[in-house]
Amino acid sequence: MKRKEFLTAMGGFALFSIVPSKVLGGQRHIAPSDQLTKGIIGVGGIGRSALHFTSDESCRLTAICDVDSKHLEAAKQQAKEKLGVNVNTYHNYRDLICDPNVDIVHIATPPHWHGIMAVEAANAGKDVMCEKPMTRTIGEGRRVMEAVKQNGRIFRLNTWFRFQDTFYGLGTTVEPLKKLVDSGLLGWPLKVTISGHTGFNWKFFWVGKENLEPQIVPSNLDYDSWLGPAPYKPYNEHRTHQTFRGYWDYDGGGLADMGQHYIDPVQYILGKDNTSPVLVEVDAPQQHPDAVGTWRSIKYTYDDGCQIILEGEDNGDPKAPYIEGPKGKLYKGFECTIPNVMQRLLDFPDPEPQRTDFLECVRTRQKFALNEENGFRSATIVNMGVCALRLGRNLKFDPVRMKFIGDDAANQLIDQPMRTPWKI
Amino acid sequence: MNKIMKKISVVVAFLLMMTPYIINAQTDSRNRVASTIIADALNMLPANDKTTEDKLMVEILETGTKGIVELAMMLKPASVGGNARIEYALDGLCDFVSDPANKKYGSIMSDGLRKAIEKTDNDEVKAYLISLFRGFGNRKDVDFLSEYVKNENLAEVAIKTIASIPGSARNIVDLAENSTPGNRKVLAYAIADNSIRKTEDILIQWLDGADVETQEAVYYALSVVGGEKSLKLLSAKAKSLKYNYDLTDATASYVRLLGKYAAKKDTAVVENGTAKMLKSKNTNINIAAMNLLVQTKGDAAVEMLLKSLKNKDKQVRMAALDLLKPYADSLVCADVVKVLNRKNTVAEAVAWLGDVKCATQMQFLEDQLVSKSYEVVAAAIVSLVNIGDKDGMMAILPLFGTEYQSVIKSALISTKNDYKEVVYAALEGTDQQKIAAMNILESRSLPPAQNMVKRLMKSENQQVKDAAYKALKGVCNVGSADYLRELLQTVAGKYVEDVQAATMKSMANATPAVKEKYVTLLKHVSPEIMPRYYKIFAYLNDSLSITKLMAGYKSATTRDEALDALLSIDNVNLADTLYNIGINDKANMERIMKRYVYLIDKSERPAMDKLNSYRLVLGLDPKADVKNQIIKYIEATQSYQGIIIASYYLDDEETAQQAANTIVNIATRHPEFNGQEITDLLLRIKDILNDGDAMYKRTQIDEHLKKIAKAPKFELSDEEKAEGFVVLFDGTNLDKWVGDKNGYIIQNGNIYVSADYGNEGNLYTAEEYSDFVYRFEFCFMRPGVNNGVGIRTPMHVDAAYYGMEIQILDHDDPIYAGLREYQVHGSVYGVIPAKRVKFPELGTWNTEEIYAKGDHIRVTVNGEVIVDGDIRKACNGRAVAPEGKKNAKSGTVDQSNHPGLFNKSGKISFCGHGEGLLIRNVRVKEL
Repeated sequence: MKRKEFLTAMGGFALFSIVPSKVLGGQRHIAPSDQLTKGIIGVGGIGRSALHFTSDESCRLTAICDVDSKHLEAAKQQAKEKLGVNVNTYHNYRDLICDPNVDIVHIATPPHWHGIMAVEAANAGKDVMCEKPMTRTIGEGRRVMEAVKQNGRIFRLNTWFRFQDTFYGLGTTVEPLKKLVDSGLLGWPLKVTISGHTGFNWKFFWVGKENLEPQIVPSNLDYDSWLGPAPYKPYNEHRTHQTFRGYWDYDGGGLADMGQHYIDPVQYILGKDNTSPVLVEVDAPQQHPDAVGTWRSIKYTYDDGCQIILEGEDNGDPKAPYIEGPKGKLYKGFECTIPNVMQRLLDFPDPEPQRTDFLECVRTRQKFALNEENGFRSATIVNMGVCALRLGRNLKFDPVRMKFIGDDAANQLIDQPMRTPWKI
Repeated sequence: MNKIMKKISVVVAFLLMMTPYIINAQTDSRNRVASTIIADALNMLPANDKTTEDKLMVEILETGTKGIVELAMMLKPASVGGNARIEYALDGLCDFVSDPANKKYGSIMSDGLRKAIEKTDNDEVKAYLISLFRGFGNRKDVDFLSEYVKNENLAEVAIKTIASIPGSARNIVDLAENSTPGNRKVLAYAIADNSIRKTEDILIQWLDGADVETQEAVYYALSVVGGEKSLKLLSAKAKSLKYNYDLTDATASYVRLLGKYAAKKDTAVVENGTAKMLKSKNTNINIAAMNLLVQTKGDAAVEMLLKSLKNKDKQVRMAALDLLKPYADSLVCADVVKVLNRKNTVAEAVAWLGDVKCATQMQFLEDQLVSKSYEVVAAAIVSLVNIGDKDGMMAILPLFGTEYQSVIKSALISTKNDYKEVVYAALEGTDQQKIAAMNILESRSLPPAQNMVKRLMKSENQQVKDAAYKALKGVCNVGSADYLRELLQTVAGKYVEDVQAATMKSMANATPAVKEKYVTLLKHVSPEIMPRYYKIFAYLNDSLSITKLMAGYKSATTRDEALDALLSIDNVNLADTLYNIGINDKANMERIMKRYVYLIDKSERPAMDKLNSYRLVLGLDPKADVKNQIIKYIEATQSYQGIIIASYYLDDEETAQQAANTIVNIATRHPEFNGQEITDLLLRIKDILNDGDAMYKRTQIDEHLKKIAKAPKFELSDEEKAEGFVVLFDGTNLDKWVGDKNGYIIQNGNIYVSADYGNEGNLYTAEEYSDFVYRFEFCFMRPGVNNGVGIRTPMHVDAAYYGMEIQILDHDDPIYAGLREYQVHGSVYGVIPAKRVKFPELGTWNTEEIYAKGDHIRVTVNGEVIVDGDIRKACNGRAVAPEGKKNAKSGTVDQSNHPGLFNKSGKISFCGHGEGLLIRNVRVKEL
């Protein structure tokens, strides 16, 4: 880290006068002074995608940060040419967090940075939008949740299938699924199968390589800062940028990348937003300690018998429904074994409306539909699977204490050591 | 080197404490020496399962300390790399010995690592080895590791490792007392991570002149282990920073330390500490202070929270409201209202009362319904519905059908509270209220309102009438069937859809008897009116209804409507009926076939049957969207034949993407499809793919090709090469073959004969042969397999008669109990019986050689000659019956005509008769 340089550059003047945004009056009309502002940390892949690299009258892009000078330069140009804004550029994320012109910090780095950055942004009084998976460990997720609450921040975890769009191959939005499950027509407990056969793709090509040869770090990349809290490993380009998901130090392959997309809506559908499974069972080859490998299946069980089954590659039953209960099954495209299900659902209440406009939530200070609490719970399911995979054994979990039961090695994975000087 | 070393940190390890015990072993039961055992183990790691993995660990550990040293010394410096397998083994060993069940191996590991650390002169290797002690080391190891703290390169990893070993607190304190400025950052984090007490004074001393990173570490440690002194120090520091976030992160450390006191409910300290925070300009610090106070004082903090509601910053107010929720009794609710009941904040109170379901502020909430602010009124509606008080709900009645209708509707259709009364009241209210109420019934049923809605269907107000018809489905139940049947016949055209929807709703749970009654009682319906019922028939989906629809389809006047209904029925049993009408209905063929393949895909039919259906429809050359749909369905068959069919559509731009995706999604799940044909296809597809996931798919293809590249390729032995044999099938392609390449597919380097599918079921050599030696291997994958080798045969005829067929048959299967001797495996079918082979169990490979020279035929199976004869002698030269004579028979043993028996030359073939045969290593020598 070039933190010394950072300190010098900022000099002795009042460093961080974090002015409360003027926009919090709850007005619907957006006057220029009511415009929110955001800064993006990590403008490599998703951070510079059309989905997020935006600037408009409701929220202006004011700052970007990256430890790769090429990414930073490209994003700066893009901001100017495509969005017509001049942005402040930073190498150190702490500079962006301290920038008084930033209301919302959007964290689009690899996951090993999410926890630290989200906590620091919350401590600095910023609202946070964080890419999935929320954090790389269960312990980091808990710290993010605590810091957001303690500082009264608004947090959005950025996956959206619990309230918007048909998700992946399922061919339906979540709302009718939730209504069907709530109606009790399928019975209880329920089993949800997430596999290629039910329309989901675990992207197993996101695996790591063993035996990486050390390479010269390119001059545009500050590799030490890219690693940050992760253990030091000699540079190889496969560890960074598009392929970092293949290494446990930074992420957890397709499971960690797609997992929260797929599992978060299931937590919502099953009404499990305030709890976690009590058991995770894995069927997988023993994983390499550094490079992420593939797996055959991961099964989660809740205390009431509900299950989430992740089938890897083509291991699942091709006839498996997406949701199965004692009284009925539901397949993709909302095909249901209960005849005339749409007509029957007319007799039941709709799911409660969700708050899905993040900027509106920031203005009115109300929790976003997918926030630090339910986001932490769905990230925890992903991370339970990661722990069981890495250890190669089944694990019992206490959803209140958020610890594994009777497995010290597993509990060591809940909080993993960070490289000095990183802490959370 | 030094710079790199400073960064060397600790690989994540997850190990437990264990006790040492020593075992010595030089060689194992298989007489392997240590280096061989280690090399063997390295080759087998990572193992496929835990049991094997553990076995390998034991094997390595039983080589003793020496073996561990030997293994560790294979490591190269991290900056050189290439250590993955060795690191994997060492990590695995540490994990293994950390299991209490494997305690006895602990000391071997520990001694071995210590020796290796001393032996190697490379600091990077030392650093890695030191890190392995994490958590499983013992006191002896701690003393050993303490020496390495003096080494600048190894200090960080040594300190972190020591700190991770239980019971090392004293050692950390010793190291702290004798620290150098360079070590302090790491030591401070070690102290914090292990909550080592009595370190406060040392830590505070370190702050003097420390760099920013060390300050951050020390403040952090003080927040974890500190007491009163730290509190004073951090309080002053945070205050000097004006509670801003900075590089020392001192403010956060201060808040964390206060949190410790809050957990202990130390009211004095927390009140004192938060007093200034509450006055800070930093909103998040105000909120943090409120959190700490609530944590410490519980309901005694309510006064403070109520005071915070006066804050002009919305962030603070909303946080205070959130913290107030657990204490929301009637007094608190009243206070909240009192404080917030001002123009800019009243909406916050209104929403909050709903969140906490406060039932004591009803008048206040009801008063808000006439507010001038849209936001306030909307919040009041939502809160009143959430609270669910009967009178409160009723209060929203005047707003039915106003600009708040969408808010009311959303609240009422999702509430679990009893909302009926207000809907009934609205149905009796003004026209505007009636319409609004019926708008809600459209989305959430309320059968008791049936009579009211029926009455409104007769309203003279056209809008009320329209709304009533739309609401009909929300109030009808199964008892309404008769009423609805009659209504559908007489109702005005514009309401037909509404009555249909209501009928479907009422029949949603209907028994077969009720359905049948509905259809049976339908009488005297004119042909003009009849189509109104088609939608219902389709919905009822029973045989009586379908018969009615088929009748409707046959009549020209009702054809279109009946067809629409037929095509909407979700019933896979209807598939073949649809195909039959579709093939004869030129005008509607395309959409009928579209539905047909949809139902086929949904059906439980075997994959090959489905493919046949798809091929039939593709053969009709439908529009691209139908083709694409079918190609998508093909993926579900997960078959080789599916790949081949899809591949025909790669050249057409309109279907190429779907075909490419289908092929990738089948091929990559079937590594056994590893012939050249698949490889070529996948390489071709890499260039074709251009959809959103194309980049990933290309990677997937590359990975898959690597996997299947390892497939075996058959090569001739030197002997056969010298004799002049030629390979006809080497496991990769069918280039030297013609005929049914859909039925004969390559899997894992074998030809797999799949079901009788498409074409004629025979595979022929491209060339013709007369005298030859033909060798191959075959394997039965299921009982009762039947195939045969045709020789000297033309194409497209039965080789047994128009050439010769050397039988391939699992003749021991009970289904062949009645087999004749000239039909058993190896027989020249119908001509020369073979000696009956006793086959090994299913799934075993057998060798076969067919020697054919002139009339001499010899068949050898698994080294045993089972046929050795002369075809001319076998039939006395009479392959066919003499002409002209009644009842004349040929001279062959089966007495049938074999007109091709004496062919001079022809193809060699496999004569398919169903699934389950594997063939490999096919080669031929011409004589």
